[in-house]
Amino acid sequence: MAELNTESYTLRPTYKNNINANKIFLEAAPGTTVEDFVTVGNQADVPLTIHLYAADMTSTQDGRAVSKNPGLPQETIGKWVVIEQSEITLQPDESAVVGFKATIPPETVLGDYKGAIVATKKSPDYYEITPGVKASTRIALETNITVTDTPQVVSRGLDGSVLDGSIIISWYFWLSLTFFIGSIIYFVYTGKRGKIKKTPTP
Amino acid sequence: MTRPYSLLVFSLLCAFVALVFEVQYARGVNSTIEISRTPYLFFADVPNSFSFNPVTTAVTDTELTSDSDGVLGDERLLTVEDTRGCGGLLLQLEASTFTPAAGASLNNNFRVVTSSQSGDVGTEVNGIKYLSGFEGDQSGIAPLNVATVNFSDAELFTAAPFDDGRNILNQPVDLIQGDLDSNSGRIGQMQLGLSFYVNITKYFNPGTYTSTLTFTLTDSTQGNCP
Repeated sequence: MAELNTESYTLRPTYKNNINANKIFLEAAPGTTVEDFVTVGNQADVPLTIHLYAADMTSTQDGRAVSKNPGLPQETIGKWVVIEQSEITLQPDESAVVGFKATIPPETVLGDYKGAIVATKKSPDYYEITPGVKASTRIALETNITVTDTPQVVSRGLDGSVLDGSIIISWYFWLSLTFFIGSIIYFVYTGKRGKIKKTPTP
Repeated sequence: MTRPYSLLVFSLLCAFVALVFEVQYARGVNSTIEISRTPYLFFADVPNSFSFNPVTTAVTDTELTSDSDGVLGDERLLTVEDTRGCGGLLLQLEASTFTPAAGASLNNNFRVVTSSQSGDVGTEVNGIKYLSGFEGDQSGIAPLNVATVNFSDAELFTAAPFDDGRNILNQPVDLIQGDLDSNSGRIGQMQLGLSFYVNITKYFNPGTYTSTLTFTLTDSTQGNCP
């Protein structure tokens, strides 16, 4: 009998962006709040409870960025971001969209900030105190926030994806355009008819 | 023709034009087979929790290994699965500070090495085992990889190339550096075994200490995957 998979959970951006679809990119002005979403999935054979949190970055011995543990002091993204649902239980093959909001303090220096939205499995023995060395896992989703006075307004399509030049091949663009043109013609046409009716008869 | 019918005809005409453009510009619309994969990066297996053997502090240091029989067992294997087929990954390890405090820092004496040795079928490249069925890039690096098989040998953890301390778990360490750009990717499982070492000095207070190892998996891609 195959061993049960009890470890596999996933975390990814809910909506794609135009820079790197595997990461989150946001822009915000100091003193404002921006919102985005992540999708958490359970690929394991058993129900899993996933804990979500935001974290700043620190570095490894090799100088690579790694997300800070939640118990450590957080100063930027780890402090700014609030996850709407920090704990979620998912059945096998189930996934859920979870929102988060980043509130940028008014005094924040303009610039690029890097952090992470992190998912970690909360197992039944999470708080068990036994001697030795425990193992835990987490998936970190790199989260970049550019603090600027002129944040870019992000437009999203019906499926939530960021709209860009490829929109011209999307069906809803053409549908919308059809109704838009149809409406203009309708109003022009009805306007003409109305003017004709008002013409006084001798 | 009455006004509502004119509007209807015009709207249909516009819809037809839109449809023509849609079919002309959209690629793959007429495909007869659609294969979709939800691209994920996740842990397929992680090492079990473990305890070092009890030790009585003495005048000299005592060196303990997690695998005192020298053999890396299945319970030490960590398997990562990438089904994205685009982009790279980074696997890192961090150990929380041992609690309660031990007098001196236990984490300064706590080390890790990795090995691609396991019973699973696959191909070893740069210290990473790519399991059977793996497709794609195999340029990842395991910077803490060791080739030797005796995991109860303290020198394995402390001699070259680790005598500079870069496998000490007082800071996070990289286990797999698998950066890629968006032109390449991986589909399948990658595996490492992990073995641990701690040096107990006479300065540690007697007691029972606990640490949590946190394995962090994250995307490491240059460019934008579709």
